[in-house]
Amino acid sequence: MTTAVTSALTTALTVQDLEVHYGQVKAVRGVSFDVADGSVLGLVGESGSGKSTVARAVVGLAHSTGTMRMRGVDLSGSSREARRQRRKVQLIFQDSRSSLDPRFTVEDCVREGLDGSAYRSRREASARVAELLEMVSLDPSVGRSRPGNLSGGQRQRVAIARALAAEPEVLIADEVTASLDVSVQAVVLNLLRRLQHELGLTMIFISHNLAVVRYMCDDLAVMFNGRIVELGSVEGVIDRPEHPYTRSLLAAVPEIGERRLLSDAGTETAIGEPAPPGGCDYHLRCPVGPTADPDRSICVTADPTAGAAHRLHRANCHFAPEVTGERARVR
Amino acid sequence: MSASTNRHLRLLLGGGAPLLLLLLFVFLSIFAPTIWGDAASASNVAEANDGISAAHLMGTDDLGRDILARTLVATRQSLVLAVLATLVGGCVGVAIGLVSAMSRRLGRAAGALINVLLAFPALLLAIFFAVLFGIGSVGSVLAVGASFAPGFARITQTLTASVVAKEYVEASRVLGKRPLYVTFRHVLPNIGEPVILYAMIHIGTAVLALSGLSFLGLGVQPPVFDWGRLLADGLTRIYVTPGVAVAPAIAIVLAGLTFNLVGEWLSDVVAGRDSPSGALRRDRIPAAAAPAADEPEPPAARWSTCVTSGSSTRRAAVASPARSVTCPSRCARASGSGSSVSRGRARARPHPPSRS
Amino acid sequence: MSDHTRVEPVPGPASTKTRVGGGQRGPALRWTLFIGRRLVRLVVSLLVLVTATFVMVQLIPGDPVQAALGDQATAELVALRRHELGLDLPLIEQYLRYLGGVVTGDFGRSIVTEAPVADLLATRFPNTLGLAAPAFVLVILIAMPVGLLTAVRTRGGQGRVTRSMFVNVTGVLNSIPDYVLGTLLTLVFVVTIPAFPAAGNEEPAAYVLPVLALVAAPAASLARIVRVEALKVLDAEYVRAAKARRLPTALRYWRHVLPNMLTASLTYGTMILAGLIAGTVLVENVFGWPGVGTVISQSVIQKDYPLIQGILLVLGAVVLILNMIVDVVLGVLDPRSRMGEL
Repeated sequence: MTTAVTSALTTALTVQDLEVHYGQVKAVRGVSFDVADGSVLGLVGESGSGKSTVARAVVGLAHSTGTMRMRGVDLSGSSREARRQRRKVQLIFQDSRSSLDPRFTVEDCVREGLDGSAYRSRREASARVAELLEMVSLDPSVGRSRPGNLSGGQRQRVAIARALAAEPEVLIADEVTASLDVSVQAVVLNLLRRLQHELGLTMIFISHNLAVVRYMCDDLAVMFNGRIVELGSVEGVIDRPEHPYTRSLLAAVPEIGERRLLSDAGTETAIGEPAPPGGCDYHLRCPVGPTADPDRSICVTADPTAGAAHRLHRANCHFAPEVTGERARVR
Repeated sequence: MSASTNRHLRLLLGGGAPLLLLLLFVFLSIFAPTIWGDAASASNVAEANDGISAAHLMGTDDLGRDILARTLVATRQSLVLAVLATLVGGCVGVAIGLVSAMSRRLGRAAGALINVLLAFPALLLAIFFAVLFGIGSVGSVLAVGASFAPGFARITQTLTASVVAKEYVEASRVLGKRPLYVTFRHVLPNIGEPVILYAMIHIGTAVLALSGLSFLGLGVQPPVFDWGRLLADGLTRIYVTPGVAVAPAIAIVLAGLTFNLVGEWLSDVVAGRDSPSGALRRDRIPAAAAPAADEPEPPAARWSTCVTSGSSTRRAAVASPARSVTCPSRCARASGSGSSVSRGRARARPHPPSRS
Repeated sequence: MSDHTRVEPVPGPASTKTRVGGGQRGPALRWTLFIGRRLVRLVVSLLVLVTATFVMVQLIPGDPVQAALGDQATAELVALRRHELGLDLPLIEQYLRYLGGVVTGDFGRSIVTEAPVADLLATRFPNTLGLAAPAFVLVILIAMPVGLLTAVRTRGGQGRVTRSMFVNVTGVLNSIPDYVLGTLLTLVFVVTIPAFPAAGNEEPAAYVLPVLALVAAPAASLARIVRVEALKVLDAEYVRAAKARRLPTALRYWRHVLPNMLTASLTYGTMILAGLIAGTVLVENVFGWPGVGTVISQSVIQKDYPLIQGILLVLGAVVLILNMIVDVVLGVLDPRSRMGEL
């Protein structure tokens, strides 16, 4: 029932029918995806599309309905097991300045991630902290300084070390490079990739930068207005987008010469008016939809979500091609 | 650079007069009873009800005891009780305020309670609690402490709300930490500074409050005396010997003024400390606790008014522009840099590594 | 037009994203809801007040009747009195009787004098209000113009002398508690220069000193707040924009500065008013004013609980009602203050 992309491998994380409401606003509506063990799922979309909310729901920071399972264990609820299992999903925040307590030393920050019961002595824990700091290419001597005295890139690495301290199986990186300088972005991205390889981490990588996503991810989910409108392998989605929204995201990226230059300029457009009920969420903005083509009245009257599972890339569009036998394996 | 050093110097010196006064009060409360204790309790009927004279600069009371000596000796009583009352109010208030860090539902209930209590003037609350706790030193300390608690609770709650919303608290929760851990490891250290500042300012308010209760006859009871009692005694004899109310009046006003000024000076120092991160600090400390650099808000010198805390929400609404200005520029920078990195990357690695 | 440039309210801690759906309701319904909510809040607060005064007496260690009548009172007299006061009934029944009494204006009888508390409140409370109300009017009349004028004269760092004078004078005034000021005023203007009557409220001149004692500190404090708020408004974009559009100065202040400043100042105004009502308790004791303040300290010392309850109830209720009125006025003046509702 899910895409063919991940079914061959064992799934680390399964999310099904995830819904998150903020008051009367539905921030996330019926989101389902699997992340294969050791793979990286990218989440892209404009601001307000709900990608960060998905991340927050998975780690339990946002109240949600639906099922989230990691290796078959339910992540929701407040049982001991769920709590322990949730520790295995860690989130790295966008802004490292506010994600590290200014009153903590770096060592305190990282030690906070350790499982307190696993270390007999403070010394042992400190040794592990030093190890973790080395793992993120930081000199263990920074352990005594405060986050305020570090650079943005260093801080983000401390945040990564803290997340790794919990020995996660799934790591969610929420726009981790957005608050960093250009040169530092590459360093952090490379670090994340290296760690992902070395530790065999399963990752959800949230970004609005398609170039970075292409570099980091195996699969890609495009979110619009709280829904996943397209899901497939990174190459499949970027090279052969099926949903008009994905296409407009890609089209917003200027091209120079042969290569498509991927940048985020223009992808972060403001969200328009709330979607009218009944039809497709995107029809007001759709370049090939009813505003452009009067024949496509189905977009106004019917929600394309129902048939998404049968379409290529699970595209949430009436006019995306259906999966045919041989094209099923997009990769 | 030199301008800012100058400013720091001025800030430090600006605390000079209030700090000297503060030292004087501390000195008096430690040593006055030993130095003037005998003079304060030595009754001399021959000199009873004297006015201002060379022998008794501020006159004598109905038993002929020297008013000036009694006023000086009363410093300890007045200040120690004020500090105790502030501590009581601070502990109770902070505890109530911290509840909102542990449970949202309990926090909302606490918030409603604080709102109702804050609507009442502190004096009214203090009288209410004075009835409950009884008349006397202990009763008045508890009463004034209890009347301060809602203010402390409110500022704690406001500060806590801003800390709890921080991502390091969320990260802590993602790591499976319990609310109690979060409260004591993250919230409390991060709200400590402004709360202590608030307490400092409130010592002066407590002096006035306790003196007020004593003035009404609801505070310390004879033979113990504090400034409020001395003032009340002076007032009853104001037609006989007009001068005897002056000394305690001056003491009360001076103490109130001193703690206010020290509080203002401290908050100036805190707000202006190391300029580069100054903006950040202000971001962390909500407006209620860190007055604008130009002009510190009048701290709640008026006990019966006790304004500072209750209005913090609306104050924050008024004080927000400075904070919101910083954001767009940062976002702009972030997105600008984002696009250029991708450009560089695209050129650097024409073929994204295939991995499957 | 200035609404767009106004400072946005900082959302409450729990409501950053939750509060979006309020926009669809009609204005009439919104107003009804707003006022209804305020009324509910008022009623709840009043109920808390009544309950608190009831619980207060229950929590006092020992028997209040015995305490009030003294150790010499015989057991029969105490029992009789307890019965008269209904203190031998079950707690819940006592509470309902108390609540019913408060609602119908029956506050019981004083344990000491046996006079109905309601009568005493009826004769004394108007005097307290008679002191607090003119004081409040005077506070506003002094603080608003002084604060605004100082703000205009010290805007943009000019008028350093004015500024430091203003700050120092208000700072000192703000630090003199009303009862101390009252005592000092008595010393100067009654004892040394007999210009005003010492006590009572029989002649108009008797109002001068108590009102003055009450006004000084709140006026100083409000003037400071008004200045700070006015400075903020004067520096705000829309006022500069109005200046750029060459609106006449007077019109500029009238249309833009005053309304925006008013809301901020009014918020403090309520608290000052509430504080004034409490402050009268102390000032009345200085000037022998025949209000409730001179009674309350006596009744606390005499443990005359029905009387204490009655006075606390009336003072508390007045404060709560004033709060509600100002809240509604603020809601009318400033739509922002309505938005933070739960």
